[in-house]
Amino acid sequence: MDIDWVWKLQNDENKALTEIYRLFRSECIDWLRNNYGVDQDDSIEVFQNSVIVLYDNVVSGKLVQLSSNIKTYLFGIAKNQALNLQKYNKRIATNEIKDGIEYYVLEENEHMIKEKELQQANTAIEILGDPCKSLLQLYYYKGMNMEDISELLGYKNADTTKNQKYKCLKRLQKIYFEYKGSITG
Amino acid sequence: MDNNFNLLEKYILNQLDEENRDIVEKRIENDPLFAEEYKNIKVLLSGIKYNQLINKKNVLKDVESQIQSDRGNGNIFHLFSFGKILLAACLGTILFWVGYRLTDSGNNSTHQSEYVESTETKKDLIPPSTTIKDSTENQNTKKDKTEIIEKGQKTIIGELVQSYKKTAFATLILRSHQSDSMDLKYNSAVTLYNKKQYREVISSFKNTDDQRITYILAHALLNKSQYDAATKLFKELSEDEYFEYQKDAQWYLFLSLLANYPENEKEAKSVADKIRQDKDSTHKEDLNKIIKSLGWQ
Repeated sequence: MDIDWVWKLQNDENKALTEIYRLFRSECIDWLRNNYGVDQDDSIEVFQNSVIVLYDNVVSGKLVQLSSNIKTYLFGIAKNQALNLQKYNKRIATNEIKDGIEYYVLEENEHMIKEKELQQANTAIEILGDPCKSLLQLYYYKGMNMEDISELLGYKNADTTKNQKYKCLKRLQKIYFEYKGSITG
Repeated sequence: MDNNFNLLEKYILNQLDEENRDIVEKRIENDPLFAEEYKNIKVLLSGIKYNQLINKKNVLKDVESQIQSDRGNGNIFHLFSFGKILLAACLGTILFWVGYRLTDSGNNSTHQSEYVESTETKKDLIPPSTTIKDSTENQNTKKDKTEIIEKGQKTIIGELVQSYKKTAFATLILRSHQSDSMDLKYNSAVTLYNKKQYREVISSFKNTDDQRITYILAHALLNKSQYDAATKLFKELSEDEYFEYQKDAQWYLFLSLLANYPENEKEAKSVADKIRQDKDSTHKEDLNKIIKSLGWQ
């Protein structure tokens, strides 16, 4: 019987990610090298990004049920990632470090956000730390409702959590602007 | 302001009906302040997503390191199994070594407990591969030793640098300083480094003129295998006697030089000499192990 990877990714994400990685790594890397002329290091990078895109599709609800098997789906993402990498490599200076995940998020925003801004926001979130970071991620990234977040993070009720979420976002904004100012100023 | 925020949040999260969406879109088009507010919220929400994804990618990177490390151990094993004669010789020396250890265990009990203590307290500082190299050393006391070391030298160097990447040496130092510092930039560099976001450290701080941040930047470069750039920075820092991590910078200069071995052998040897001559160096023990495995003595 086929494993329900979507369910696994929703319920035990780190374990599912590790299993998927180990299961398809070698085959996918060989396939990328043989079919898209990607070198070993880049094919590892492309494969890792592909697993992350798969994860993101599940978490964001774009992928609710697999119509094909997971291998076909994953290799389809890997193919697009490899083609993107080729395009990306042509555009950027060779000594730049490429990160497909950053490119993926920027592209999703139709490049309205600058690379620098995304990195500054990322730094601000790391400085913010937990529990605010987890709360914001559960709400804004995973799309969980206030009741479920309250239960998961141990808040009294949905209203308390909503209030806390608002405070956390304000704190994040403050850190982001201070950090941005310290870098540019 | 908060009304704007609520409206924009609902717009971004797709929680508005068509009519309200149109209103928001028109305001974004015609009201620069509202448009800026929209962009700022969008940046933060994208940052939240990006942060989650790169943290998950770090999970995959750890799995990859584990796979590489398992293969590395496999490679070491292969060194011992190329040919029946060599295998037999190895088994012989292993038996000899086991016998030697059994008879010598009484005499060495003090030394052993010291070693256990030092690996316990410094387990993040000593690359795990040095223990592998020690056993390699002991098992190959005959003439095949040189051959194996030569064949495996690249693997040993690779492992050495690889195992450095798994250690948390810089993290240990940096963590202790994080809470003391009120410097937002420095704290940010430390936070990103501790989260293994090396790429972000490099792109955010590549033009820094703060020595402490330069030190973190050099470590990030080393972790991203940008050895030449890391060497340049560690060299600069190790030459400044007033820099608080000068001696550590010297040690990591040595490691980053080794990463391109044998290319920088002469310079690496010269740095090794400096470390050896420094009576206060805390890296002598590790240095001696490396020197021994490279056959520099």
